Amino acid sequence: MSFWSKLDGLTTRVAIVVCGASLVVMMGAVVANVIGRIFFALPIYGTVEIVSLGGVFLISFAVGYTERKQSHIVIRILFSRFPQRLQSFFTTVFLFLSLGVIALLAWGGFWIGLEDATTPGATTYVLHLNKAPFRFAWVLGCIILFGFLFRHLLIALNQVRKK
Amino acid sequence: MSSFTIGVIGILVVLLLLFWGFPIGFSMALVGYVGVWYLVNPTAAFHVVATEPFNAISSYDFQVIPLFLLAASICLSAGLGRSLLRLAYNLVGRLPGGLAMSTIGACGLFAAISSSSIATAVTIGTAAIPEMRSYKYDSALATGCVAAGGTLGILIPPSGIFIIYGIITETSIAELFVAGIIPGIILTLMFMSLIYIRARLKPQIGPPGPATSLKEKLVAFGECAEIMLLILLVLIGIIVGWFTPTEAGGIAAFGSIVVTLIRRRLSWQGFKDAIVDTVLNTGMIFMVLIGALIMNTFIAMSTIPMELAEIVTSFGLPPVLVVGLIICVYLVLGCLIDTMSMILLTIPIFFPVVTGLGFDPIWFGVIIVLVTEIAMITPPIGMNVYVISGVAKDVPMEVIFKGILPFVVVEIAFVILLITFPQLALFLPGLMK
Repeated sequence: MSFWSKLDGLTTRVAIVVCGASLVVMMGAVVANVIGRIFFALPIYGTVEIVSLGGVFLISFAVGYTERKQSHIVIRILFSRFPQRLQSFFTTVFLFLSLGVIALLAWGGFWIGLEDATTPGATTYVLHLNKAPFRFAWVLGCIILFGFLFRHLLIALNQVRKK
Repeated sequence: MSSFTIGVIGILVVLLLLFWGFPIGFSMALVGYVGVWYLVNPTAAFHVVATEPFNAISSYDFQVIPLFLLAASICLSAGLGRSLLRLAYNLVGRLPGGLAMSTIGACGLFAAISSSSIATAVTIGTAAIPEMRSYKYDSALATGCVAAGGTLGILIPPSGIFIIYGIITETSIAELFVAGIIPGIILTLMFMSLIYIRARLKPQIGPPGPATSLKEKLVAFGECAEIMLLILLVLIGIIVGWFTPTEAGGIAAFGSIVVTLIRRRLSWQGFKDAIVDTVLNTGMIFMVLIGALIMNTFIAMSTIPMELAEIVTSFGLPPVLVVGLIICVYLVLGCLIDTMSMILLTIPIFFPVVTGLGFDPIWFGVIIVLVTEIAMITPPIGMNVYVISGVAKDVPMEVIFKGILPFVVVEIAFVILLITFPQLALFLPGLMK
């Protein structure tokens, strides 16, 4: 097994584990809070933030996994009628553009994360957690997504060359 | 060039990219970024792409989506669709077209735990289509009723489209959920009546099944009792304000795990599959949401919504006619674009127009969901049809579309009914105030 295949497998597993753990934490926090609030008048402090921040990890890693499975929503109504060669060409161009978009999102997230990390008081309202690690989790998710897009670009380029 | 013109060009470029096969989320993000750059400056554009995605993924309200997706995936993994179908079959199966009517009923029940039309169609369709075909049901009716029944998934709460509509228009998601209940029930009954009438007129398309005993009915009900209780808990909890929609999502997910564990229907592998399925769909939905939020910032800056509202008002058209025209736009767009992208792209433009004309945003939300339902079953995009063609591989697409046509007519009739009697949607939310 090549290094890249191992990296691909490892990244996919990590993404699923992080997403799964986030989902369980979000669900657990919500249920505990509802039960605590309704039956014992004891809501869990900061549930809204726990769920929101759990969502950051879940979604950041989920977008990469979705690309890994090539499941991002695409409309193929016209595309599927193009000749095979043209389809490969468009796929390659769009993967290039997608890489640009994701690089921009990652760079923007990193820039804001850095600002949060260096600005005193850039914390959440209730739990007073620094927002920077969560911003960087999003950046990491973008990097994973970028990696999978790049892999798909290489495959697409290879197909174009073969044709 | 005016901001308005730039906005219109931006929308056209997005549509062009979509039809060429550029992933929806990425295309909206790209055009939104370039648009803000052009309208304001590069710093503003960079600020939008730096902040909007994080705002979306860290929004508490948005977390309702993965939680309800998890609930539906757990039920799907545990094969609860089959039990709901059996229950519905035991109740109406002996009537003409009974199995198709049970399919609609089961779709309605499953819709109350699932926020997705596709999940509803797959779950019920996988069990119902082979069953109907073994009873010699007409293929068009068998596949058409599942595709149409699946659309109930986005009308009967929880609904993914209501959640997205609620967030982008800042309308109460809880009230939207509640507003979907009566229309959901009426539409379910209308679909069932349609099947009954058609099967009475042409008995060969849906022969009645054998009668079931009271004991069989009770056993079938017993199999679904816990999940029915969970559905009731979630709906009542939202109506009476025990919990928020996001909390309802958490309760639904947790409850479905508990119920399926008690029933010994959820294996470790099934749980893992449900998680993977949820992650995949979450990634799919949120990439589009992120792109749409960036695009919407651009649309807002282009002043399209305000100018369009002014233009429509200046024409002095009757408000109902304006709504009718908007519905027509959705029906056409729905044939071409994926439904969620359509909602995300158009609601920021049409919402100010509709509310400016004095219509209730909750009512408009229900209308939008109904029109979206129609879009999900009309060619050539009709997502539910593709899903059903995957389940019934030997049934040609045109047969499925032929089977769907009567249901589309019923849905359009129901949209007209809802425009005439808005209280059908507004009665229950009115009780919450």
